[in-house]
Amino acid sequence: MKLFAEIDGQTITFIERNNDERYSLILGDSAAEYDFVQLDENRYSLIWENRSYLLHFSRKDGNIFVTHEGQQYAVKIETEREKRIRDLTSVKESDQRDMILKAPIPGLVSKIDIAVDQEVNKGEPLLILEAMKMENIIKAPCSCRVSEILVKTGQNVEQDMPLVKLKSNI
Amino acid sequence: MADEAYALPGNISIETYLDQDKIIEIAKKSNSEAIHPGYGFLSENAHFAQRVQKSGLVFIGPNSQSIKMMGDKTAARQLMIKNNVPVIPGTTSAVTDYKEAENIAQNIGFPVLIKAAAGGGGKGMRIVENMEMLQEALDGAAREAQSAFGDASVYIEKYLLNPRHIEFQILSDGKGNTIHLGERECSIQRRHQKVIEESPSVVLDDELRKQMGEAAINAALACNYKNAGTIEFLLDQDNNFYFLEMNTRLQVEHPVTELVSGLDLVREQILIAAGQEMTLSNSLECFWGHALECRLYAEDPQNGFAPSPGRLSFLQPADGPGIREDSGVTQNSEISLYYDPMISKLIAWGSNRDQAVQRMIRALKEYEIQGIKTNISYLIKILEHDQFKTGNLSTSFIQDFENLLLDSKQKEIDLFALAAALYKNEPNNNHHLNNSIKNDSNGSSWKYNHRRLNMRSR
Repeated sequence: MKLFAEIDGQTITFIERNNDERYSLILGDSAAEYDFVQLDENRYSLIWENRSYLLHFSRKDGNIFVTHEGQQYAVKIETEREKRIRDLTSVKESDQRDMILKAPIPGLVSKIDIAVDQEVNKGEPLLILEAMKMENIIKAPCSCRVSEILVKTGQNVEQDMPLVKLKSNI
Repeated sequence: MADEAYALPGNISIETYLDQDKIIEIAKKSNSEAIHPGYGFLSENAHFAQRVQKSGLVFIGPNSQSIKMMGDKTAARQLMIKNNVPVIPGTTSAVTDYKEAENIAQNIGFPVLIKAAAGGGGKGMRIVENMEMLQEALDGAAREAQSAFGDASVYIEKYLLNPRHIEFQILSDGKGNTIHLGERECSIQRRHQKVIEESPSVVLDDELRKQMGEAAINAALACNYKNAGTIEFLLDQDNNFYFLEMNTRLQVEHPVTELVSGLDLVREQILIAAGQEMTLSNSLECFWGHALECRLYAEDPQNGFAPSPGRLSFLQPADGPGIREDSGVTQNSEISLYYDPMISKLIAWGSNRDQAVQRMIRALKEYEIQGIKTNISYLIKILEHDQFKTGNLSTSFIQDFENLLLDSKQKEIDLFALAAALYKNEPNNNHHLNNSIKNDSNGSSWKYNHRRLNMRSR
C-alpha cells in the first residue's frame, strides 16, 4: 500500500508495510526506522535515524500541521484510494477572471488607494493594512480592474476576510 | 519593590499605556514615589517626564529637556555636530516639501534613507534607491510617522552600505559622573527592527572601543544627560563611526550588557533617580564572557513576516545553562493585534561567543510554542549561518540571505512528511483504522496493543 504526503508543493511517497502485524513506512530505498511516542494530546517524540525530534500536531481543513523547532508545515496525507478519488473529482481550475483578494493578516484598513472601476497594474498598491504598529501594503496580484471594494478605511478586518473584488484583464 | 498591580482599563494603547492621566493617578493612589517608564510607550515622551516631575513624583530616567533635545532627531544631529560627534551626511532640518526632498537626494546621492524626525524603532523609515521610489517612500514614511508619533515630519540622509550597528550603554548620575558600559552589536535587523543583539562586538578592539566610548560620553554630556541611555552608531567597513541617534531610556536589549557587566541596569536607574551612588564610577573596559539576545516575535516568516496574533495553546519555554528569558506571556495568553509583536526575549551567556551561540541555538530548538507562528526557526537559521558564526555581520545581513534563511532542506521536508504520516496512523487519529479494529471479530485489545508496540519498534 502506498501513502502520499503532499507538502510544500511536492508529493512524497511512502510504502506502507504490514507484515506479521508489524507496521512500517518505507521512504525511498530504505525502511524508515523510527520510534514514535505520544507525550501529550498533540505532542509526540520521534526518533528517526538516531535523531530525536519533539513534534506538535494540529489539524485544519484536511491538513495535518506539524511543528518542529519553531517551523511549521501543512501536510496532506492520503492513501492511494483517497488520492485517486480526489484526482477524479477535483474540479477543473475555475474561471480565473474574477477573483476576491482576501486579507493575508488581521488588521486595520488604514488607507485605500483605489476606486471602483479603476484599472491597476500588477504590484500596484491597493490598500494598506496596519497591524502590530506596522504598515502592510496589499498589492495587486495581476493587472486588473477593481470591481468592488468590500471594506472601508478605519475598518478592522479578520484574516481571510474578503477585501477587494478584482476582474482580470485577460 | 514593585509588588502591587493596578489594572489599566481599555484595549488599545491610547486608552492604556499611553494614557498619562491614568498612569499618574494610579501612581499617586498607590503612594508610589517614582515611575519607571519601561522601554516603549511613554518612555521617551518629554511631556510625560515633565508631568511626572510636576506632580511631585520622580521620573526614573533623564530630565524632560534631555529627552526633548535627543527626541527631535534633526536638533540632535546639530547638537552632535557642535560637540564634535561624527554624523552621517544629510539634512539638518525636517523636510516637508517634495521638490526640496528631490534636491537633497540628488545632492547627497542615492541610496538615501528617509526617517521620521520624531521616531525610533523602525517606524516611518524607508530606504530609497532611486528618484522613482522617492514619492511613495516619502508618503509612506510620513503616514507611519503620523500614526506612530503624531508628527509627520521626516528627514533625509545618506544611506551607508553594509554598516554595522554598534551602540554604547551610558550611565550618568547627573552629578558629574558619566560612564559607558561598553557596546552592543545589533547588526541583525529586519526592516530596521533589531532581531539579535550581542555584547561585546567581535569587531571592536580596545582602541576603537575607547574612541567610540568617548564619543558616546560626549554625546550624553552634550544633552546634559542623567540616568541610563544609549548612543547608537553606525560603523562602516573602514571602522569610521557615525552618530545615529540617542535612546533616552532603557533599551530592549539591555540584558546582554547586564550579563557581561554583572550589573542590574534597572537597579542602577533607580539608584541614580534616588540620588544615590552608581555601582561603578569608571567605564567598563573588560567584559565577563559573551551574551546574545534573540527577540521572539509573533510573526510568520513563511508568509512575508505577517503578524500572527492568537492564543498560546501550548508554551514550554527553554531554560538550561546560561539561559535567561524575559517574557511577557504564559500558556493561554492572547497575543492581540493592538501591541508590538515581540512576545519574549531569550538571552544566552557563554564564556565566549561560540559557547553563547551554541547555547542559544539549543534553547531555541527546545522552545515549544503553539497557537501562533513565531520567528524561532528563522532565528536558528541566522545563528547557524557561517557568516554569523564568524561574526561577519552588517545591517544588511538578513536582506542578503533572506532566501537562504527561509529555505528548508529536503531532509527536513521528509521529516515533516514522515511525522504527519505517523500521526495520521495513530489509532486515535485515524477514524477509519479505529472502526476496522472495532468491527474486527479478532479485534482484541491484545492485538491492538501489539500492533502499536511494533509500530514503535520499527
